[in-house]
This record gives sequence, C-alpha cells and structure tokens, in this order.
Amino acid sequence: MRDNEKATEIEVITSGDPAYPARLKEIKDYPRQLYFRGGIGMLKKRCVAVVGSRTTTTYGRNTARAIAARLASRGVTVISGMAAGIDACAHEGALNAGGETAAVLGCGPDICYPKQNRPLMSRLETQGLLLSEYEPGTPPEYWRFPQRNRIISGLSEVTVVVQARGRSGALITAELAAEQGREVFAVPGNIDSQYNLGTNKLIQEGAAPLIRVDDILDALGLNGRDEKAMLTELTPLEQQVWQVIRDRGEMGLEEICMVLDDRPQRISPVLSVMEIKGFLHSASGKFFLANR
Amino acid sequence: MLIRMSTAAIAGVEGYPVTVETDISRGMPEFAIVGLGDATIRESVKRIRPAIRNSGYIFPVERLTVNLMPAARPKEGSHFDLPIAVSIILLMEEWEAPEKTAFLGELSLDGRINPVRGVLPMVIGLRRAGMRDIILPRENAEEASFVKDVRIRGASTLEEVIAYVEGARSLPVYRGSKSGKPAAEQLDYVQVIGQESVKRAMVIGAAGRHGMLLMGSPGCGKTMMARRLPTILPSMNDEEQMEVTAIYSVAGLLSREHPIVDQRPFRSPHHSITLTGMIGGGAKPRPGEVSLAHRGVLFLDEMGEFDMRTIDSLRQPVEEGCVRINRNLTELVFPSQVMVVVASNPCKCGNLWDPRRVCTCSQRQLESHRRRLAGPFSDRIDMHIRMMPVDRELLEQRAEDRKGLTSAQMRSQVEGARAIQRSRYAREPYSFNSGLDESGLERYCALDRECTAMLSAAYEKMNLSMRGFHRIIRVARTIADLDGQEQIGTCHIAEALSYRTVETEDRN
Ligand SMILES: [Zn+2]
Repeated sequence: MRDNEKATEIEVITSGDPAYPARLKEIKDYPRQLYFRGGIGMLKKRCVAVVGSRTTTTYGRNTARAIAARLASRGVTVISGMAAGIDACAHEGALNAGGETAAVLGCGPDICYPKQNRPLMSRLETQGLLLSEYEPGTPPEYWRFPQRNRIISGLSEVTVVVQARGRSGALITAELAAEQGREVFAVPGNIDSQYNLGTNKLIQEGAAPLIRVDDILDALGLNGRDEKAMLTELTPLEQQVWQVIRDRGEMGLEEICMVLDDRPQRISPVLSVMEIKGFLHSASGKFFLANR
Repeated sequence: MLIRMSTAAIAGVEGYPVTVETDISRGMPEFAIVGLGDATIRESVKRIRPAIRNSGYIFPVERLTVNLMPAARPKEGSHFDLPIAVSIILLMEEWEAPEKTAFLGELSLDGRINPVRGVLPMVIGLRRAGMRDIILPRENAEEASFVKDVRIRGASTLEEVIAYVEGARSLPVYRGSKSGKPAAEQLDYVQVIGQESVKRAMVIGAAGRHGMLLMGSPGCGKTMMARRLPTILPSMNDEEQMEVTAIYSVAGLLSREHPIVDQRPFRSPHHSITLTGMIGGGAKPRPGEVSLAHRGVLFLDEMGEFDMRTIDSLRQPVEEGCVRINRNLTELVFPSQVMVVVASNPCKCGNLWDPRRVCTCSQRQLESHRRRLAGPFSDRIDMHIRMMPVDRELLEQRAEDRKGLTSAQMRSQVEGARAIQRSRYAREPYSFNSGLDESGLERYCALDRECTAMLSAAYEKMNLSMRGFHRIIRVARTIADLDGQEQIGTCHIAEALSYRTVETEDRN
C-alpha cells in the first residue's frame, strides 16, 4: 500500500509553529504535530468541512461538488477526508473550481487510501494539501478514522454533512463539530431513501438544514455577495487593507502597516471604521475578516 | 545665657525654618533637647559632646537645655547636630550668633560633618524665611546650590564652621558645577525596531498624559517601550527639577554623583512592593514610588502580579496629583503628578496572543486575569495598546532606508500637543486631556454629527461602556491636538477607538 513515488516532500509542523492553524488549536485534543504535503497556508483562510458517506447517490455527489465549488470560488478552503463518495466529490468540486482544498487522512500522509483515489491524491499533492497527524508509513486502521474526524471539524468554522446513512463516520464529524462549538449544516434529503437517514436525523437533532448553498456563505459572513461588489463599498485604502488581511488570514496593526508601507495613524482609523462597518473584527490584538 | 540659631526641618517634602534655642545655666550637669525631637535628635547629645571635645573646644559641665522651635511640630533628622554644637561653642566663647545664617549637618564623633537628606527643601524653606547664608555639609552643597539668592557654604568639619563664624577664615560660596555630568545611557525610540504603531501610541499617551496599558506576550518589548517614554516628554524646567530633586532629597536618594534630578523620573517598582512603599508614609513619612515618579513615569510591569490593594490605592494619588498623609493632626503632602504606564501579559502563562506558543491557562485563570485589569484603578488608564512580537520576516523585506521615528521627532510632536493643551486649560485645575472631566468633555470636546454617529455605531459593534466612551473622547482630543485640529474629527475618533479597553473585546 506504501506509495513510493514522492511528488512533494513530506513536511511536519508542531503546534508551536506559526504556520500551525490557529483554529485547530482551539479544540481540546488538538494534534501536537501534523505531517503535510502541499500548501499549508490555506488553513489560515476561512475553512469549511464538507463530508458525507462513502456510499452515496447522484444527488449527494452533485450537491457535494456544487457546495465545494461555490465555497472554493469565494476563497474558502474546503476540508474533507479523501474517503470515497462525498469526501472525494468535495475535493474534486473545489479543485475544479480552481480553489483550495485539504484532505485530512487517517493514515500516513504518503499512503493512498482508498486505492481508487490515487488520481485525486496526486491532484491534492500538487494543487491542494494532504494532512495527517500520523507519521509517514502509518497504515490506515478503522479506529483511526473517528480520531481523524476531530481534525476535520477542528480545522473548520462550519461543517456541512452532505449525505449520510444511519451509521456514517460523517455523523461523528458532525457531533465533534458541535462539541467544538462549530456550526453544523446538514443537507436534507428525501425520506424514502436510507442514504439520507443520517443527515435528516442530524436536522431532527438540531443541525441547521442547508436550504441553499449560500446559507454557508451567510454563516461565514460572506453573505453570498460577490467580493467585487463588496469591495466597491470600500475606499481604495480600505480595499487594500481588506485584501492584505484576506491574503494572510489574521494580522496585527504593525504588520498591516509594514505590508502597506504606511503610517499607523493612517491605518488604525481605517481598521476601526472597517470594524464598525462590520468588514473586520479584532481580537487578541489581531484583525480578521468579519463574519458578515 | 541664651543663644538662638537658625536651622530647618521637613514636613513631607516641605522645609520650614526652625530656631535652636540653647541655654546654659548653673546646676547639675545635664544636656536635654526639647521640642518634639525624635530618637535621632535625642541621640545627637551623644554625638555632639565628643564632636565638640575632639574639635578642641570645651564642653560645659553645666545645665544645658536645647529647645527646637516651633516646639509643637514633630521633628526628625540628624542635621540638628551642627546648629546645636555651634550654639554651645559660641555660648562658651561668648560670641554672638551670626545674622541671617542657618546651619544644618550631622556630626561624627571626631567633628567631621556628614551629609544629610532633605537639604534642598530645607534650603528652599530657609530662603523663603529670609536667610542669607546657609552652612551645610560639603557633600550637600551641589544639591543646595539649585536655590538662587542665597549663599551656600559647604563645610567638612565643625572647626571650619566655628572659624568661619568667628571670622578667622572664610567658607567660599558654592557656585554649583551642574556640568560635566556623565551622560546616562542614551535611550532612544529609534533603537526599537518594527514597532512604529506602538511608538505612535506612546506619542499620543505622552501628549495627553494618558494612563496606558501595554498588553502583549512576554518578550514583545513592553518594558523597552515604557523605559523610553521619558525621552519624548518635554524636558523639565528649573522649577520642576527643583520640585523633583526636593522629593529625592527627602527620600535620601541623592548622591554625590547625582545631586540633582534633571531628567524626568522613570520608576519601575517591583511587584512585591508594599502599600507604603508605593504610596508613601510610614512612622517617619517618606515619599513612595508614586511621588518619586512625580513629573515623570510610573511603570508597573506585570500589573497582574501586584497586590490589587496596592494598585487600587494609586487611584486617588494619580487622580489628585498628590498623596496626603495624616500624622499627628498635621497633613503631609507628597506630590504625585505622574504618567502611569502598566504592562500586562494577555494571560497568566503569557502565551495567549503568541501564535508560536500554546496558552496553558484554564478558563478560570483567563477570567481572573481579565478581572484584574478591570479593577478601580483601570479608570485611570485611558489607552490599551496591543503589542505583537516583531515580525522579523516582514522587517527584513522592508527597504533598508526606512528608518523608524527617533525620540527627538516624537518629542517635538508631544511638545506641540502639550502647548495647545496648556493654553486651552489655563483656567482649569487640570492641564492635560487625561484630566478632562464630564463638564470639560462637554466644553472642549464638542462632537459633530458624524463623530456622534461613529461613536454610537462603535457602541454597538465594539461593546463600549459609558466610561469607555469618555476615555475614547479624551484620547481623540489628544489625537486632534497632535493633528493641530481644534475640532475633533471622525479620523481622530476612529484612531482613538483602536486603543479601547481590551476586556470589551468581542470574544468569539
Ligand atoms: Zn495563558
């Protein structure tokens, strides 16, 4: 099962590393180290998990692709588990839209599981990100997958379960997300199909039903509006600030001044105004794009 | 036979004239000092007798009574040795007391004169009382030479003093050296690299004398920032230097190397400091750290580590600009016009804001840390400054020729804004924007419709309190002054908002 041809180097980051995703560190049992291949930087952006069962219907697969594509086109990183079925479709949807997507594996980052995802995995290596808390060579074991799911939900502000049967691992991800205080959406399905039993049950238990794809963007504050349209509301300097923060995910005042090569007395009023207008929010001395 | 001699005593940081009345009469040999002297003064009996004998004079075997007038005020200090000894010798040699001449100094058993504390305020008090010549320990002459219109004569032995009084020799008037002092380590904000936004905050804080909280992870440079604050404050004029030197004189902190405090003080007491150490007082009242920082900066590093009662006790002195200590029905006043800067980690372990480290605090520890920053004293803190560690990578990408602001550049901005405040508040009890009370805010900080709209929007979005409101307007006033604008504008309000209190932050 070991994959010998290395497309990209396997790297490792620890929780002390600046590149380590801050959101993941908020969960109580976050992994102390992550092995990865690809662009780790995408985890600093807004992240949404799109997950579901291995066995699916066309409806499920199409929905997964549509959701992932929409999110990716708005600059949101799509997180999933590279399993067969919904997970694979989510990655594909994001990649096809030219967006960013990360797969969290339940085995070493050099192991392709399931085997049929080999082409997808090579795409993820070069265009996306492969991520695992297990060191290279760790074989896939059924008990590792629920463990892995906490990372999927932990990396994400929102978890969307697209389609799940009664006993899908995706339901565990949803449960973990709720425990981690993250928002959970479930895509409702027709009630005569057992493929939708798990997602419908999630809704019954309190998950938000996903009525239209843009519900997720609303939850993220991206409001379903186009970035371009939004930017026209901003002054040129506000636009610059907004873009700088979007590109880097989170920034302190000093860093913004340095990147824009401008004086703090010009930048800090702009930040306050943007915060009041709801474009930004600040915490811990840093500025983030706001949940609009 | 009776003789009267002039000297001085100290109440708080004020010197006042004291007359030493000495009487020799027949009777059982006795040597008594009356007039509310403390133990040091009563002990002077034991120093004066050998000092007189060892200087070659006769000590009377008669009944000696010394009265320190005004007798009702408590007095302390060893500087009464010299006037008492001189009185006794002059009585024995049947000389008159010199006119308009005062004496102070402590005696060694061999007749040498030792330096004492509190000389400057005593000399000020004696000049006010019309003295022309003041004889004092040579080591204290530099400090005393600060006072104009009075002749300071330094002496090292009792014998020298008697020879001078009897006209056998002269004691030259000390002119003061004031020069050739080694320059202290030259601190300058230009040495702080990659923290221009914090330097901007320091300019605002210094301009309006706002209380500041520097918050950031350990090692992000909070102390470095605070330590350089005096370099951007306007330098002290003579009167201010004299005030501050008087306090240090009373506290016994002047030395031959540093006889005068001519730089704005920077005091950074350790968090183990007692309440008395901070505020002043004690059995023999001494100025506390808040008074030693008078006209300068009081820096409390790691505010969370201090005893909260000690911190809260600072509120009144910082607000009123002085410490009042009641003692034996009299009130002592120590000045305490300070700029307060406190530093704190964002949490107990310090790592909360550091992207490279893990915060190990429990939820309860985080809450208690936040509560500590919101105590009664927090009212005196107008600005919260969030500090991040310097981003080396970004710094290296920056063009070489980009130089940061120097202390001199920053100071000229501060001076400009302070001049505006000085003339605006000429008739007010306060002289800085940080002193603006509610009616002052109304009078001097009228807001136009746009500013009001911005503030009410901020009220909702940023979870401000009413007090937070006032703080922001005060800071906005200072930013407008730095900008040379009489009318506060939205950009000033917006910049002030970035220094709002950390605990109101939206935590999600
Ligand atoms: Zn901590």
